[in-house]
Amino acid sequence: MSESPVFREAWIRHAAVLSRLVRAGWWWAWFVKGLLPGSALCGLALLTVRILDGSAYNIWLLYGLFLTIWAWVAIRKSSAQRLSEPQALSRLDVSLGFHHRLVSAYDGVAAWPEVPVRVIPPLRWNLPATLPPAALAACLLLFAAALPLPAAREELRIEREEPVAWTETAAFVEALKRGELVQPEALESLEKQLETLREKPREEWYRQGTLETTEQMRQQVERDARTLQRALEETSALLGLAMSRQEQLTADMREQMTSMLQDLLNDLGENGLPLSEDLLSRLQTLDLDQLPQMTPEQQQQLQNMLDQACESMGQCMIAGGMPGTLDADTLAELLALMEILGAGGNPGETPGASPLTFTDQHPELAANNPFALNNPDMSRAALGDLLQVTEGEHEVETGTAGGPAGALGSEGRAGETVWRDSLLPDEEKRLQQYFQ
Amino acid sequence: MSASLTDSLTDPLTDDQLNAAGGKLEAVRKALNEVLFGQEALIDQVLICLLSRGHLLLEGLPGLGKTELVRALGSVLGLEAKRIQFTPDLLPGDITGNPLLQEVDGQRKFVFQPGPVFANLVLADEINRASPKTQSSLLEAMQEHRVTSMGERHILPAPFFVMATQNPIELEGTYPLPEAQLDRFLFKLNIEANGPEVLQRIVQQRRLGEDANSPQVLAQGELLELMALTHRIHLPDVVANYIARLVYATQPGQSKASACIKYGASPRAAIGLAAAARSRALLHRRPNASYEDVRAIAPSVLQHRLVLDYHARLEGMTGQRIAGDLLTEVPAHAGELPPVVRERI
Repeated sequence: MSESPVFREAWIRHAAVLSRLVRAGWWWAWFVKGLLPGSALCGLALLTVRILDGSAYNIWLLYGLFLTIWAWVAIRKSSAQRLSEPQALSRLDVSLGFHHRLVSAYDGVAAWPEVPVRVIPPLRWNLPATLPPAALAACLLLFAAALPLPAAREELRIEREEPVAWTETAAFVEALKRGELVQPEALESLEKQLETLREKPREEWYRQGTLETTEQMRQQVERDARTLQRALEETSALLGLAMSRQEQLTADMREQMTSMLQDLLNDLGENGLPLSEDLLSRLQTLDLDQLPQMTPEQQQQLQNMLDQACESMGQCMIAGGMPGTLDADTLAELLALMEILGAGGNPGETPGASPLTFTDQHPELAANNPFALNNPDMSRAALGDLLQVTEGEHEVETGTAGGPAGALGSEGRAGETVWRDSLLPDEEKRLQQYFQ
Repeated sequence: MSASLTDSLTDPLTDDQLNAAGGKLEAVRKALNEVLFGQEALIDQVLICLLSRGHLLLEGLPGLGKTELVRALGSVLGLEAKRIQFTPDLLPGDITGNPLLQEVDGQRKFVFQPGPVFANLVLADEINRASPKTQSSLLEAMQEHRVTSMGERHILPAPFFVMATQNPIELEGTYPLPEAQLDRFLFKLNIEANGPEVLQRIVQQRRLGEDANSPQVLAQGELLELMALTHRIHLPDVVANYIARLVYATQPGQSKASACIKYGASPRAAIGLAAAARSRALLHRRPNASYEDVRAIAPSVLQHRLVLDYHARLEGMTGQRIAGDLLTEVPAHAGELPPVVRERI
C-alpha cells in the first residue's frame, strides 16, 4: 500500500475546512440564541434611555459586554459539537463517490487517493437560515436608536437644562470675581455649593429637594448680596455727607456717624459675602475725626472708590439676576439725616428735599427734560408690570377757560407737576439703577 | 491467494487479492446468470449471503426459479446440494436424521443415520408448510452447524447453507415461521416476476423438463477462502456507527418509521448487516465497506426481522417498506449538522 504524506496532508486539510465550517455553524446557532433576546433587550433599553433623555453609552457598553460573554459561551458550547476527522472524511467520501476510501486510508488500511484539482466541499452555509436572525437583531437596534421621538420629548429635553437660579448665581459669582469686591474664600464656598448641585443626576435637578436647596441658596446669596450692597451704599452716602458737611457736624453727630460707620463696617466684614480685604482694611483705617486733615483729592479718591464699589456691586447683582435697590429704611434714615443737615442750606449745593416733601424750598426736579427708562430684566416680570417708560407728550387741552357752564374752569397743575418736574441727578441715577 | 490468506486474518487486502477474489466471484455471477435470466440483483444478494455464511429465505410465487437457483448454485460452487420438501407430516428426524437400531460387531446399537440436512447446500422448499416442531429442528443446524441426536453431536459439513423458500399465496395449512427461526436467516429475498424480454429469453433457451447444466467454476476450498477474505474487509467506524443507528432505529419509539413496529431487529441483525456489507464490498473489489453497501443490503437483512403491530399489518405495511423508510429517515452521517449549514446537493 502506497502511503503519500502529501495526499494525506491535503485530504486532512480539506477535512479540517469542513470541520471548521460545522463548528462555525454551531457557534452561530448558539450565538443567535442569545443575540436576538439580547438585541431586543438592548433596543428596549435604548428606547427607554432616549425617552428619559439619558446617556446611551452605558447601554451600548453593556450590550457589547453581553455579546462578548455570549460569544465565549457559544464557543464553549460549539466545541462539543465539532466534526471529527473521520466524520469529515466520510462526508468527503460520499460527496466524491470514494466509497469510504478516505476513511480507510485514515484508518491505515488503504492508500490515500489523489486529490482532485477541485474539491467542492459537501457542506455550505444555509444563508436563508443564517442571515435573518442577524438582520433582525440589527433592525431592532436600528429601530431603537433611530426611531423619531415625539416633539414633547424635545420640550422635556429643554426642561432638562440646569435651573436658571444656578446660571444666575454662577454669573453673579463670576462678576464678583472680576470686580474683586468679595473675599475669594466666600466665592469658592459658593462655587462648591453650585458644583454639588450640578453633580446631581439630571433627572434630579427639578425634584422638590433640589429646588428647595436651590431656593435656599439663592435666597441666602441674595440676602448677603443686598446686605453688602446696602452697606456699601450707606457707607458711601455717610462718607459723602461727612465730607461735604464736615464743618457743620457737631460732636454728637460725628459720634452718631462714627457709630453708624462702625455698624456698616461690621456688616461689610461679617457678611456671608464679606468685602474684599483690601477695601475693608482701607475703610477700617478711616476715622471721621481725621477727615478734615485729608486733602480734597484724598477725600474725592475715597469717595470715588466707594462709588465704584457700589456701581460694581450693582452691576454684579444685575448680572446675577438681582436688580439692586436701596433699602427703604436706610433711605428714610439718610433722608432724615440729610433733612437735618440741609435746613437753611443752599438748594443749589445740596440734593434738596424729595420732590414729594413739602418744604418751603422749591425742588429742582428738572421736569422739563424727560428721558426714557426701561427695564430689560424680564426674569421677574409679571402680568401688569410696568416694563418701559418712554419719552412722550401728554395731550393737554390748551384752550382758555370761560366756556359754557359746567365746563373746565381751571387747567390745574398738580398732576402736571409730577410728570413735568425732573429728578435730581442722583435720584435719576438710583432710579436708573433700579430699572436696570 | 492461499498463502496470503493464512498470513494474517487482520491485514488489509491488497489490490491483487481483491482483483483475484473479484474475478472468481464474477465468474460465479456469470455462470448463475446463464441459468437464471434477468435476476442479476438477486444473484448478487445470494452470493453476498453465501460469502457472509448466512442462510437465505426466498419468497416468491411458484415457477420463478427458486429451486433452479439452488441447484445451479450447488453446481457452480461444487457444493453438495440436497432438497427437502416440507410438508405438514414431515418430522424433525426426517430432516436431521434418526438413530437406527443396527447390529454392529454382534451387538445391537443405535447408529445415527444422517438426514438430508447433512449437505453443503440444503434447500428447504416451502418451509412454512411443516409444523413448528419440524421447522425448529433446523434451528441448531442453522446456528451452530451441528445436529444433536441421543446426546451425540454430529457436525455438519462446511460450508453449510440453508436456503428456504416459501410461497406468499396459498397460506391455508401453513405455519408462519417463528421469530426465532426467522432471525436465523441472514437475508430474506423476494423473487419478482420477470419482464417480457427475460421471458422471451427463457422461452428461447430453456425446454420443459430439461435441467439447465451449470459448469462448476469454483472449488469448495476456494469458496471457503473467499468467505475468509470477507473478514479482512475493513469496516470503518463511521459505517459501523451507521449500522448501529440503523438497527437501533428499528426499536419502537426510536424513529418515525418504527411507529408501527412491535419488536425491532436484534443485535444478530446488526452483526449480519456488518458481515453482509463486508461481503458486498468484496464482491465490488473494495477493501472496505461503505454506506452504500449497508444501504444496498439493509432491506434484505431487516425486513423479516421487524415484527409489525396489528394495525400496520391490517394496513398492508410490510417489513420491506418500513426498512426503506428507515433508510430514508436515518442519516448516514453521524453528528447533527447545525441549522445554518446544509449539505450541498
